[in-house]
Amino acid sequence: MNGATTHRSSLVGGMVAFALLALLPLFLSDWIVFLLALALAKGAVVLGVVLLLRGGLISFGHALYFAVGAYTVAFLANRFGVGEALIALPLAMVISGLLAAALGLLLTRFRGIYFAMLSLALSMIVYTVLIKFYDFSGGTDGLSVRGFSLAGVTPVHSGLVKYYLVLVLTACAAYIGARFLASPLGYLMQAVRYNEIRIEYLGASASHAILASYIISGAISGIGGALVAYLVGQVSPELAYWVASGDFVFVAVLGGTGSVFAPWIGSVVFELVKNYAVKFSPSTWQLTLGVFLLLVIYFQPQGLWGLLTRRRAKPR
Amino acid sequence: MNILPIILIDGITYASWLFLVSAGITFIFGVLRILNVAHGSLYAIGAYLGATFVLRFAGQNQQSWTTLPLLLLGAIIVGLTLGPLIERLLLRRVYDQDEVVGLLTTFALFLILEDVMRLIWGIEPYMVEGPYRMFGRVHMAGIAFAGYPFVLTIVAVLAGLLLWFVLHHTSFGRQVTCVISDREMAGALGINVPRIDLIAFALGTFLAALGGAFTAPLTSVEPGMGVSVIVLAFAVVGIGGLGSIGGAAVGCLIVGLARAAAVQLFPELELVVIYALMVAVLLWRPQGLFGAIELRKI
Amino acid sequence: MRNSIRWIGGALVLCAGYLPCGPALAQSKPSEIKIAIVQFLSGAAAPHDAAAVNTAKLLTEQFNASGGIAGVRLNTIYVDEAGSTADKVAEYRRLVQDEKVAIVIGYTSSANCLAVSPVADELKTLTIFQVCATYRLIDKGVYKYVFRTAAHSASENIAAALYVLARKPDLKTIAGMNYDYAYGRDSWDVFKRTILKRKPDVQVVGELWPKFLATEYSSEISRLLALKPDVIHTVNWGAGLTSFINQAETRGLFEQSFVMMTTGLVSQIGILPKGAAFSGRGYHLQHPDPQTYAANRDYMKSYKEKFNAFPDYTGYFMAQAFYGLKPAIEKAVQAKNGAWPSNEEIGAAMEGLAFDTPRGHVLVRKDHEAVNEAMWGVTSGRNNAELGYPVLDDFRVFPPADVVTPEGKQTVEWIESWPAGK
Repeated sequence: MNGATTHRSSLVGGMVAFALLALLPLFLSDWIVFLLALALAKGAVVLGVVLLLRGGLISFGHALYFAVGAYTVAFLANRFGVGEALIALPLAMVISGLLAAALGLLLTRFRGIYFAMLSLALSMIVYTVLIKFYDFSGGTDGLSVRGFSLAGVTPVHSGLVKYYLVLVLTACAAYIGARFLASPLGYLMQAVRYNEIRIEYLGASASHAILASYIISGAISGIGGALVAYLVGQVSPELAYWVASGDFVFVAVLGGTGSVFAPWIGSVVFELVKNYAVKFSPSTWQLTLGVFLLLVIYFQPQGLWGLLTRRRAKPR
Repeated sequence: MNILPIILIDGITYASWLFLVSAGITFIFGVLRILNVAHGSLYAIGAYLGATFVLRFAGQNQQSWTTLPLLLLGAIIVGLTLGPLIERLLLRRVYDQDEVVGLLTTFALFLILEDVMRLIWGIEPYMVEGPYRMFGRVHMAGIAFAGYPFVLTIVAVLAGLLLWFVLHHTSFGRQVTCVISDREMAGALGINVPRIDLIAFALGTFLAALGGAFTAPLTSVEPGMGVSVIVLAFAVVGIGGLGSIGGAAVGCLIVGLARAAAVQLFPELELVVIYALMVAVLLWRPQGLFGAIELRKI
Repeated sequence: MRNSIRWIGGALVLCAGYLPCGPALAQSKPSEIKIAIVQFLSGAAAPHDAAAVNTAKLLTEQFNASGGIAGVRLNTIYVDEAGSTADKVAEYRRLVQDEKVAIVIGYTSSANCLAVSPVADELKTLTIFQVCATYRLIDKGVYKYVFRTAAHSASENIAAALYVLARKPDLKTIAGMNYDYAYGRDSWDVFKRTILKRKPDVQVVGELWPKFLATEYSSEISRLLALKPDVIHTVNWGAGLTSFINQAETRGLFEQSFVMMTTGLVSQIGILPKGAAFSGRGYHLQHPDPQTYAANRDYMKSYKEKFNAFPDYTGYFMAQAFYGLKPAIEKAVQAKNGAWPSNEEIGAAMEGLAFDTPRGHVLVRKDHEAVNEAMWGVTSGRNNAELGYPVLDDFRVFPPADVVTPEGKQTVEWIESWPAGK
């Protein structure tokens, strides 16, 4: 399959998915709409993780950007009384992006397990600051996010408005992700995974590719966190905890790294499974997820996306 | 009131606890090249099993010397059963693959073990303060310290010495050192690498469980107690160098003293210093203070 | 074309059927009242909430045995409160929107009740915080759908200050060691302000903030031993308090300072040395006297029969919620001549409601806050001869007028408005 047809079929696929998701609230209960919105917002963070996984880099600290985005919204709403999404969301993206640029410069020297550990340490610093500086961040109490408005209007059915906001931004994130992956820097990331030294010999810079990926990844994750803050209405330090990062990596592996849609497929499946598993038994849902992850690792390493696209390969 | 001796004493007792918790994880990484995210869960299982034995067999008299061997027994059983089970069933498949896969496998194991603990031991906390109370108080530096943390220090030192002795003065230890420096070559030289892997993982598991069992009298044994411990262990081994036990010991001391100082001088930074130190050391020396520089193979 | 129209029409009809309804308590009499009890079922906080969960089970049985509330039986489900505040808020939404719960009772952690309140109003669901204590809840305004059936943290902490000043008139130094979260911060603030108002020359020598539900206190105890305060104030609760007591006693902290435990369990009195101050947010095994007050005696008896233990304060507080909910619903049903009331109508019935509970008389004001007395005593090492519960000496009951923030006033304002040194 050549690049143009892949691109076009992805675009068509994306538009169909968007249309379907836009119609779903008509058929589903408030709760499922909320859950879907949550899954879509978190999917953006998972895309961030996937962009790095493509280069063989596992970020075990992506919850950092998720939390920074969420707390940006929370600070604005809680401390400054600004609930306007059109101000908070771009700000969250910019702050996360700038932070990713700064931290990315430190991180691009590392690979493999050391990249993972350093990214983990950085997010744990954010977590411990959020926990300990009570007067600044509310400590473990967190901050409540009230007063959501969009373009100055406080919607009556805010759950629905938030859902569509998430959907639109998710589509943008997916588009940006797709464009990046199809760009030279995006292809370079794949090369970084397989043979970094050859890239350097060919005159390109692996560090540039990684840094670019990391910045985009951080910015998208920040938006994901900001949206979650609005959806749930509360932020707390656990958003930056290592288990949250682990969950994002889990979903990335679950969905697969083969396509820009995979993170969202993984995220939706994850949230739905988790929701019903928790209802069924609060003491076995982690077990269920853990076994699920093992099955994916052993039998379907390309994730759910691999499962869906397997049928495309026709024998000649 | 001079706080320096208090910082030293607090720092050293905390460092000993940290060493018990982190020695296993760095040892396992050195031999198997897998960062065991489930290490904290093994620590917690050690605590649960140790607590169970004390509550069942020490009965009414929790403040007796029999509780210590019971805790040790809990740790040994975890090491002998869970260790080999996990290594054989789960880890053996992932040695040849990407480091990512190993990390994810142990993360999945962590999720599974957290719930296994809830299913076996329930969700209420277990309190076994008998051994703690038994050791009463010790007067030092103007205040009364509990005696029990010093017992932990002794256990940590003994564990460290045991490891050192095993690694440097037994043939098993020599073989382990070979495997640590080059797995492939060690196998080519005729060392039974799978057997070494198994024993190493069991030993690492035992160390984690030992840390958990002896921590049980200090706090309450409850679901989720391993979750925060694992990142502390990561911090320590990141600082000390992955695969180096001496490095882990030094890392523990640095972290223990820094944290004790923060607690006295800047309480808000108590947890921050640990991870800030980790970042600082990793940026300066990515392989940690005593880690081996790994050459990238094409 | 006609087929498509039929399809679309059919789909629209189906949609209308699945469109989200309003709150579960609609106008026609429901088949059951679904109540979610959100309490700590796991971890260090579980022992603290155990009595509350038990009491909810006990009273659900008792109420249902006599036909439920206003003839409708109760269906009580139990949900674990453990987890981050953000998770708890998402879960609250799930309870209301997915599980279709009608009433939510619970949220021990002050952080959780502060977080959940705006969502309770957003989803228009009647929510009773039966034990959550932060005084900040109404500082920014009253939540329409949120009620408390026990007095908040101002009462027991003002009472603490009054109690210790009466016992130690030449008090010189105080220190606080409290969980670092809303209730810990609030309580210490109230205690400190009251002491400093009444005796401005008292020195605050330390303010320690261990993590919420922490179970390891070696550094905190080291600092307290070094600081040597006359009085140590703590509201730590659950297994964290048990650990603190064990560790502090081993190192001799109780011998050096007068330690005041605001929030404690009956079992914790058992491990305390003599002479430590204990409130347990109201020690109801001793007051109102079960020998004379039947409601208390009956509750103690049925609890002991079913659970083989004395009920902790958390049990009494849960009873307050149930004994307040029942007359509120009955009153609202009566006002509607037998038709089932909406959440707003039940809420209106609860405002100004006075009712009797095993711990005595409780009033829920128009600002949705409850009024009851506070009490403090010191551990004696003895048990009551007749009923066997641990006895507190020097037991003082503080009337609400002295310790409960008046309606319309903010707690900090109110304390600061007192004349100094009196």
